[in-house]
Amino acid sequence: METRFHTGTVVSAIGHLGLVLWVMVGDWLFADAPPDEVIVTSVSMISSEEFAALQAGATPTPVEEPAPVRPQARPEPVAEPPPEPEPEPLPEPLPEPEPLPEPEPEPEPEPVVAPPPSDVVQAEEEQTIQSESTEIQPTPEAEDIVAPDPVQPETEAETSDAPEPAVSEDPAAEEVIQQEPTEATVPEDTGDITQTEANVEQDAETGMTTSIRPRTRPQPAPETEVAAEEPPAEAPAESAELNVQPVDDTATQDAIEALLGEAADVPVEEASGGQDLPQGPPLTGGEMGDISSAIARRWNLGAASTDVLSSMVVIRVSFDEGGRPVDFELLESSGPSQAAIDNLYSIARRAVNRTHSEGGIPLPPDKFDTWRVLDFVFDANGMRVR
Amino acid sequence: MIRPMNKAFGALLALALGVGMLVATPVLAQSGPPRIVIGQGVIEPMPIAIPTFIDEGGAGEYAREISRVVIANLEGTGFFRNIGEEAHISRITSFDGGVAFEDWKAINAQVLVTGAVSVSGDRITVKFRAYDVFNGTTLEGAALQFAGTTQGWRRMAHKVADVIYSTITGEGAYFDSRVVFVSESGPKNARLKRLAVMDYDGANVAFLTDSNSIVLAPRFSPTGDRILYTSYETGFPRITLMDVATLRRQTLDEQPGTMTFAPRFSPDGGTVVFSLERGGNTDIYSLSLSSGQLTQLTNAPSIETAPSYSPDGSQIVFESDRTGSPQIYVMPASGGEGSRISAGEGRYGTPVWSPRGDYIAFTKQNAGRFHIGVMRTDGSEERLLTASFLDEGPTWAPNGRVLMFTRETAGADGQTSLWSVDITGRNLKQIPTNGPASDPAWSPLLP
Repeated sequence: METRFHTGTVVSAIGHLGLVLWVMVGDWLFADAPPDEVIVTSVSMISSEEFAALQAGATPTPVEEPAPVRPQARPEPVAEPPPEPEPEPLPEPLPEPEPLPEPEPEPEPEPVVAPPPSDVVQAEEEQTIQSESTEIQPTPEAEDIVAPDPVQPETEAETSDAPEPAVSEDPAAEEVIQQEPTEATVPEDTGDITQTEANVEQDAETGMTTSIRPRTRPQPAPETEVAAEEPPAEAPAESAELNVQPVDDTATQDAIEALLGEAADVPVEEASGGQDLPQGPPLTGGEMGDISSAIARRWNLGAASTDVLSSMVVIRVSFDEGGRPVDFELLESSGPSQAAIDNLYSIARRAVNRTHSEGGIPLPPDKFDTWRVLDFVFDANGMRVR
Repeated sequence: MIRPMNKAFGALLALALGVGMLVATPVLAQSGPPRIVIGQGVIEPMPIAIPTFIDEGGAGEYAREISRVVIANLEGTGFFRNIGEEAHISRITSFDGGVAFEDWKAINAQVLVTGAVSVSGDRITVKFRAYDVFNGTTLEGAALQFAGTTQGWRRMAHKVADVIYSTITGEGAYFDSRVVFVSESGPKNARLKRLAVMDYDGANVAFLTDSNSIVLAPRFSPTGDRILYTSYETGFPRITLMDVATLRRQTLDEQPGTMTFAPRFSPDGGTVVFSLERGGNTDIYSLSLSSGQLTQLTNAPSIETAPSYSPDGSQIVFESDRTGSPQIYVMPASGGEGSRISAGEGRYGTPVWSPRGDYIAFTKQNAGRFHIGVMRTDGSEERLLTASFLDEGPTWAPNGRVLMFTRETAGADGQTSLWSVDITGRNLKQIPTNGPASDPAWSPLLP
């Protein structure tokens, strides 16, 4: 168990590191396309007849005649009937006089909808626009895809053992992360913090956490609207509000709901020490850190032997509703001798009891179902005396 | 047409990567209650409360003195910090009475020791009980009673402290033990030396020899009933065996033209290993005390000395300058070339095998400084515990976790004294003796 926990942490750490490196190094490896040159020019409309007349005329039209409107995102070169169609619009077609012999090629109306940035605007004068400008037009599709997709990683992060979600650097995602995750999203992640019997079974059936990839591109719903939702809502509709599609598979979703319903009907087991699987909302990373720090301060190995300092124990502690430890169980241990292990077990129990006596263990009152049973790892191997 | 990657697309892929990792993580995570890793704890003396033992009849000052010795023993390890009685909220008025754990928790006492002493004639009875305050239980194995003559009241206090120490720390006991050493007097250039024995903490000093001849390097037998030492009584160094109870002495292996020194007992006490100098060459020999058979264990043109058996008697660690400077070697107990285990810079000497068999203590000289150090039996994990003008001659406590050695200060008026330190380098302190002292040798735990 110790190893799997450690393995999961390692995998998550590697993934996060790769994410950071990708964003940091991506610019170097994949250089951005040259920034779009924003050129603003005046545009006037001409009729099709006029345009045809222009085309028919071999000689270029006078400069003062407005250039034809060119649609965006049309990669093919602008109307070049006589000459050979340019195989690639990238190289400057200026050398080819046929298409537009006039010195100024057809102006490229930049995204008309976007007002020109103030630092680039030179609207009062026309500027030559190279026909290649079609290549530097933005790709709105990609941007649309990127923008509103944050909620899923937030869901994952909330239920992981890592203290911080820190999954997506998408600002939109971060906003969503600040919101309370719904219980509907939590069980899907099979985190060890919150489990229901239903979720455990579900995971076993699927062999993997259910996919939380959106069926469709989530709508860019305003986060504020989502924030107003009741955090503990369980309905899948809640996920939809957060732009999360818990599952793609409707059948799986139905199965989840069915199992949740069964779980609700299962009588609650005896409180103190009887429930091994927490049923409440997960402890946050901060809460777990507070508990760890409080106990660590009372975990005194000053009188421990060198063998104890080479030992490790994992103890399971059951608490009553008042946060008082009522039962201890040694789950795992390692060390050079049984005496050292026994000693460390005693020291660990003392640390927990002492923490309770001296101000109490910082257990969140509203999550008793989660912390009624906790496992603590006391690894003295790292505590070497100089 | 391939779109060039831009920042937006890179961010999308990074996002997908992160989602994928987080999806995978719960799969690898464990199921069950939340698991919380307790981070770095603290290493500080354990607060302990030891109210004065109750006088249950005729104990007089014995109860107070026994309590004092117990407190001194535990605090002297550096592992415990006694909470003075002035801070106690509750009072222990009856040995078998209840304990108000909350009162002891309030003063942050993690362990409470209660005791009682009664004396009848020359018989003294000491009983004690140790409690784990925060667990609210009696420490298992820490509720005992000792009885003996009043002369042995100090040993009883040591035994009480031994039980508490062993129970809490898990280490072996060592308080109820003795140390034989060389008591020195006079100026440095005309030093008078006598064999003396004391409790491990410097109390109860008794002299074993007079100062008529120089004595060096005393060593206890495994049972503590005999002492080996080097005596210059004849003008030449000779190994002498002394019965501690009767003080009768016997010179071992008197061979003309030879010098013998640096003796040690084998773990079974039936063999003595020592250095013998003959014809300008020094090698290591063993002598059976029962048969008198002498066996040469090394045969080299260099100086081989300071042999010490491993606890199982199968190997011997010794000092040799065969490479040009003194280094540490290990050979089979039956003899042989030996393999070098010391590897650092400087000179190594006086190796001593730990009673637990896991470490070898030594003296090291390097860059004008002397050190007491320990290393694993293969020479790895060398760790220097002290540094001074002159530290030498370590000896192990019975539990193999504390060392005692000689420290000498510089100058014409330099004095020798005894110091102790644990193998982690903590708790370096001087052992109180009546005057200069050197060459300590720790006895086994007294029966």
